[in-house]
Amino acid sequence: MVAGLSRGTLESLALNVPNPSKDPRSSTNTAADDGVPGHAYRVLVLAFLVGGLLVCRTAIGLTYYTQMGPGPGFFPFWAGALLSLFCLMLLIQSFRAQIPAFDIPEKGPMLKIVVTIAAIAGFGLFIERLGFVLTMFGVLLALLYVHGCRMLPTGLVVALTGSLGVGFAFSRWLGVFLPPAPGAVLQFIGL
Amino acid sequence: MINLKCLTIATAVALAGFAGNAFAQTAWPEPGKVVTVYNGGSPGSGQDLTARLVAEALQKIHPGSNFQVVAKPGAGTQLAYQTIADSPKDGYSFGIMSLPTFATLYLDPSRQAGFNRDSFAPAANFIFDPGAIAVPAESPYKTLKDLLDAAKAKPGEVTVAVVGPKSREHLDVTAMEQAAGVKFNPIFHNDSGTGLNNLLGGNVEAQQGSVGDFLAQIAAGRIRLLAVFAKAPSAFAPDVPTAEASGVPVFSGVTRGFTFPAGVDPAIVKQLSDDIGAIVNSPEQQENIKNLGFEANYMDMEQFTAYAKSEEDRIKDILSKIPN
Amino acid sequence: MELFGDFIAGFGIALTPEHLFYALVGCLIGTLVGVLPGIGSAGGMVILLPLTFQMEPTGAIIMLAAIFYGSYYGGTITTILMNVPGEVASVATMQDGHAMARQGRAGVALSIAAIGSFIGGTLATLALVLMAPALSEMALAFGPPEFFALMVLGLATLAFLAGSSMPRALAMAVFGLILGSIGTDPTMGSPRLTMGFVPLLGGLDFVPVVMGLFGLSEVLINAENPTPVLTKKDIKGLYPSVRDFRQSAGSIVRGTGLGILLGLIPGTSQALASFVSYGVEKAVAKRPEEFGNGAIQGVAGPETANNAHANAALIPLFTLGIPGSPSVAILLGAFIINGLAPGPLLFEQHPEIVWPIICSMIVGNLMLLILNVPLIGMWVKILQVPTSILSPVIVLFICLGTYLVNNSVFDVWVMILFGLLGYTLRKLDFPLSPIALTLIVGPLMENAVRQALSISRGDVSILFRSWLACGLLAMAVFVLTLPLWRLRAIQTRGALGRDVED
Repeated sequence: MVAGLSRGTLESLALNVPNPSKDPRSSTNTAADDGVPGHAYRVLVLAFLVGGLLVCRTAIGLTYYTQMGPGPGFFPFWAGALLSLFCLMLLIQSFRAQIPAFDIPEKGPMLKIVVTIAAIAGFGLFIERLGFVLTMFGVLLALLYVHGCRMLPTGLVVALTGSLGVGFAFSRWLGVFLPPAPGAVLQFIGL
Repeated sequence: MINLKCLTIATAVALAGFAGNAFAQTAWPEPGKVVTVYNGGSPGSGQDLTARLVAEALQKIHPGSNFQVVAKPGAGTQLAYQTIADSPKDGYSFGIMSLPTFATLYLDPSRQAGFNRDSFAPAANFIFDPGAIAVPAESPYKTLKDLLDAAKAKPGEVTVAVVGPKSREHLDVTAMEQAAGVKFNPIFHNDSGTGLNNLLGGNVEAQQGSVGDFLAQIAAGRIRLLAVFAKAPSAFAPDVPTAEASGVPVFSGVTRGFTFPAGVDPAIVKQLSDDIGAIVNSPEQQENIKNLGFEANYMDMEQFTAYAKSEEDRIKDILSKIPN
Repeated sequence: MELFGDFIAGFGIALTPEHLFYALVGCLIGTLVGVLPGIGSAGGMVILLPLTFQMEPTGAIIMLAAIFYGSYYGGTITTILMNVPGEVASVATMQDGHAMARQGRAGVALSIAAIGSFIGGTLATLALVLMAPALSEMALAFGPPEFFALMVLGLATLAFLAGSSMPRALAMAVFGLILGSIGTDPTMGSPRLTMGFVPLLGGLDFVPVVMGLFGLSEVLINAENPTPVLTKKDIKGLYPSVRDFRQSAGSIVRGTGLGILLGLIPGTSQALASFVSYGVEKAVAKRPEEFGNGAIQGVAGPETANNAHANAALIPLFTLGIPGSPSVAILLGAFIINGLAPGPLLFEQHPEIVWPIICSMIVGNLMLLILNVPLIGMWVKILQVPTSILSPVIVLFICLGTYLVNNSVFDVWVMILFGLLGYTLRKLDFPLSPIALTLIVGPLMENAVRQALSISRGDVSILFRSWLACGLLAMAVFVLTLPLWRLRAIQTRGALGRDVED
């Protein structure tokens, strides 16, 4: 019964039920077919399509089927193939129907996003070199600033609690291991 | 009246004792400095519990010290070993070394392990959990020989639950196959718990594991051990014959000990080794060890290092005979 | 009726001030730990395991168990208020829970979650008490073929997570399957899709992926489109109305049943229970279009199923000595360290320890309810904290939680990667929950089918060997085609329906 359905029916099926789980903050614009907003959707779908094909290719290198059932390559192969298939469908559909546009964030929010990612990357890079407390303190200050906190005392308190306080609570009271600061930097509080 | 001679002798003895102490005991660990104990098990697992037990005990031996257990699970304990091998050689990082899995990790080229036996300075072995093979209580197999006969009659059909490919359990089954000239059908599971579920549910005919894995079920009467893969029967299952007695001279089990990265001051390594020895011999810890389902099996530095080599050779041999 | 006598006696011991105190501490700590995104119940228990070494066995296990189910509730708080999953299992509640919060009904959502959790957890514990041996036999009936069928059924609920576009949901689901196959092949031991990264040999860990996909992406999206901070007058009442109760009643009942059933089967997880419950609720709902916009059933069902599963997972532990999920494995470790071997003999040999623990679970569930309901007012105030402070704090805990899972920086990189991916996908209207579902179910399903085929030496008919397996597979087909039945029904009823409902 499912096989007898055309793709169109499946589509209309889902679209008939008014947008159940649409994230209200996802794009409500549709592509104007120009510039990044328009192409972003297709680029993403294409990326997944290529990814799917790559997975297929890797899967072929693994044993496909043994006498005892599917080998390592079986499921990834089909998964990769299906992914490419669905992406192809999406790509074709994107030329016929409306697709969501990717609004590039404006300067302010863009800065927030970039700094947030950079801060977390900094966390990853430095946590094992500088220890949790120092790294987190820096990260929190950066984040607080870029997300708009301009009240210095509040910001400092939050940053200190988040780094020193949390570090203390976890490593002293709870006995959880957090990377310590190098040398004797924070020895006086026993971190 | 104080006899001057007595006083001199007393002072000399005291001084000697003091000096002797200073030489016998290195200043490890310095109070307040953190000693990190790595283990590759996930929380609540055997490795994790062992590490915590020993860390607690070490803190009692060295008052004022701070032994921190850090679990680094991942890649089947491989990440933990990599971390130990790469850690600073100041003697303030060490971790659990579990054989034979440790050997398998670097002998298997597909795992791209960045270490081998020379990257480590083994200190001491702590416990031993002999391998064992179990069947459900109502199983028609009464001895290991029964199972092997069935495997001979139906090659590749008798199902035995093991944990993962090239895991200790799998290698034990392979060793049995090589020793008895039979072929089993190993069924792989993510952990011994799911294997046990399949065993009890009648989906597999036997399960390869270690005595500690099966204790609770044996006590409940739901499963039976066919054999124990040690030189002598296990204290937890005294009437179960050894595999050797059933004609299959395979000796295997989980040994868990501790190791430093290579290059650490041998005096520190010896200190840990002696401490572990003390823990093994203390009555209260013996109770704890029994609770974990293990047998204490202390090996000092030299013995443990030799054992690591012998396990490596044994595993190399088995691996070389696996067809794929 | 010796059993009954032991049970009552157990309450006596469980209600001593000392044990009450441990349960209370456990609930509080569990809730606090659960609130921190990324540090779920397993993380919380690990953190507190050393503390319990100093305590006597009964008290230690009471506290650990309280942390265990307490942390699930804590996770709900973060999920509903901040749209960041407190832990993997809360992802299913996120859709409707946060929508309710944005409508000013956060208090209602939290209350219903608390009440549902209490009912689910208590009934699961009572099931343990009254039917444990029978239930554990049922658990043993699930061999690899039956488990496979169950996983197919779980995957079929995907049909209800589709969102606005079926092909996009399917693409994401398949993507999740691919992610799930990264790691070491379960049968041949060869690395699969690891791209040379050693930490990937064990597969992708759920926490960094979920924290990134859902948590970090939320922070990033918020940076662009800040959710308006709710002022006091926006909060429409803290507690559910009679209508809310009536609407949730069915979900709670279904969630309890589902959670208990799934909890019995070793290998399933709370996340699976809550996802399946969400799917079920959407399937039976009279107005499925409300889901995603604050349908209370979308909170009541998954939360109840979650807690019921958590408590029911203790049944195989107590009766067979087999942990039903990773968090339970930690409890198992606690038992062992204290010299108690969980299993059938535990009831006979140590009734004076086991029964108080079980009774304490009932007491603890009640305590959780009593503790948290008044606190809801306080939790809801979090919504009034300005984003400039809330976002950095959320990032703090996402980072901390992710790092602490494996003490590994690699996980932080994974989290960033998936955060960026989640951000992009959300902006382009791709649904994310199918990824979470298949990431969990995919590996379990593949494992099961390969185990089954290994046992049968390649004979596919083993998958249909029992009524249970066939029945589950048939149900899966039914669930998959359910949207089509409904569409037919809606279309036929169409004209009439509009008249009647207007």
